[in-house]
Amino acid sequence: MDNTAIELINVTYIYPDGTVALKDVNLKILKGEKVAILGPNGAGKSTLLTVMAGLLKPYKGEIRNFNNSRIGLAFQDPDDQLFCPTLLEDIAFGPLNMGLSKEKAFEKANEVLKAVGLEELKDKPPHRLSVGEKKKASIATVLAMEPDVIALDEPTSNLDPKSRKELISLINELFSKRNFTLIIATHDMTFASKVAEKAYILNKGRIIADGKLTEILSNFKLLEEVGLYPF
Amino acid sequence: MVIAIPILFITPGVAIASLNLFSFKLQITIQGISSALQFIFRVWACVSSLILLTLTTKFSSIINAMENLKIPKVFTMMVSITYRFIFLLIDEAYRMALAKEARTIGKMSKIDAMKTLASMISSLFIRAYERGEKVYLAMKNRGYPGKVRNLSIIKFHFKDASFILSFFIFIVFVFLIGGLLNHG
Repeated sequence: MDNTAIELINVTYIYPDGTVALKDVNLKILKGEKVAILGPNGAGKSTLLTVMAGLLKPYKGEIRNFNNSRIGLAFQDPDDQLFCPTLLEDIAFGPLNMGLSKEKAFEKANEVLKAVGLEELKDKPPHRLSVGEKKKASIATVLAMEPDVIALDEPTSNLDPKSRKELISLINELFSKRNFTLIIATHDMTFASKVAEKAYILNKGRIIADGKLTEILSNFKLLEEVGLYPF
Repeated sequence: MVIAIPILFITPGVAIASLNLFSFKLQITIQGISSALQFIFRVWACVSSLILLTLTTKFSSIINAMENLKIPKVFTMMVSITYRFIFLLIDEAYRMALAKEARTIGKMSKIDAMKTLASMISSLFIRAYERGEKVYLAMKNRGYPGKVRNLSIIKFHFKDASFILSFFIFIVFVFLIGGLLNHG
């Protein structure tokens, strides 16, 4: 209770077409942790994050959030995340909804854009950005709201090696400077090993293993079983 | 142009040409020609000024201006989101057409082509719908309260006022000249 950021108890989620996306998921994430949720495609990673953020109601089970942690989720497809005519307005959208004045919200947006290194693009429409820039902008939209927990859904999908490297150093830099808990859903094992400390393995909607990331990454048998072998 | 054609026939007035179509009698009138021309020029003027506006002004500025002119925010928000996602929609449709082309060998029969087109349109619709749902979740995730607020950043300056004034004077001038030409 004291230092728990968020806890899921027996959470089950079923989509309207009958697909069981999550089955009796139990997990507990502590404040200030860097957690990776690893799983193959279709394991339920995105659903887990969406349920965790409170955007989808679980079919069964409970999400405990005693400390009222606010969770900011960046979607996998940045085109879902960015919907305003200019980048600056997009970043300011969250702060404005939090009740900040227009000046304060734009000030905050400028500050966050600087932190992710996109301040020169602030007046560009989102469809003119590259995928790497869009991914960074997605993170910025969440960052601007200063949530207690930041959840990133596949932050490295569709990125080239250079952008991926930049993203890794950006995430680590932000984590060391700001105060938040990080949850990353990914199947990019190299990326996970560079940003996370703890890991959960999700397969077919169930959590089948958890522990230190280094331990999980050395359990080749387990990784091969779920289809996540690193080579 | 096509829409203007019926105006030629339905406007009552002095007939200059007539056409017997079975029991119908179609007449082209002088008044019809003049109102059809008027219609065409009006649309032409509208479209060209619209094109001029969109070519010279950033879309975000247009939306900001609309907000400053007190156009309902629901409408401006809808326009801005439409503008944001229309590129994605076009892109998606283009990619889909390309993928269809890549898997088509030789010539398709007309019926098959129509069927493929129908299924492409329906899957494009479903994709757009699902994206809409996702975007709504993304908005909710960032605290969207269900109503839109004013985001306008541009301000009404002295030069805007002077522009409006000079434009108004120009219009009055045009009308005066027109009046002089008609009567004098």
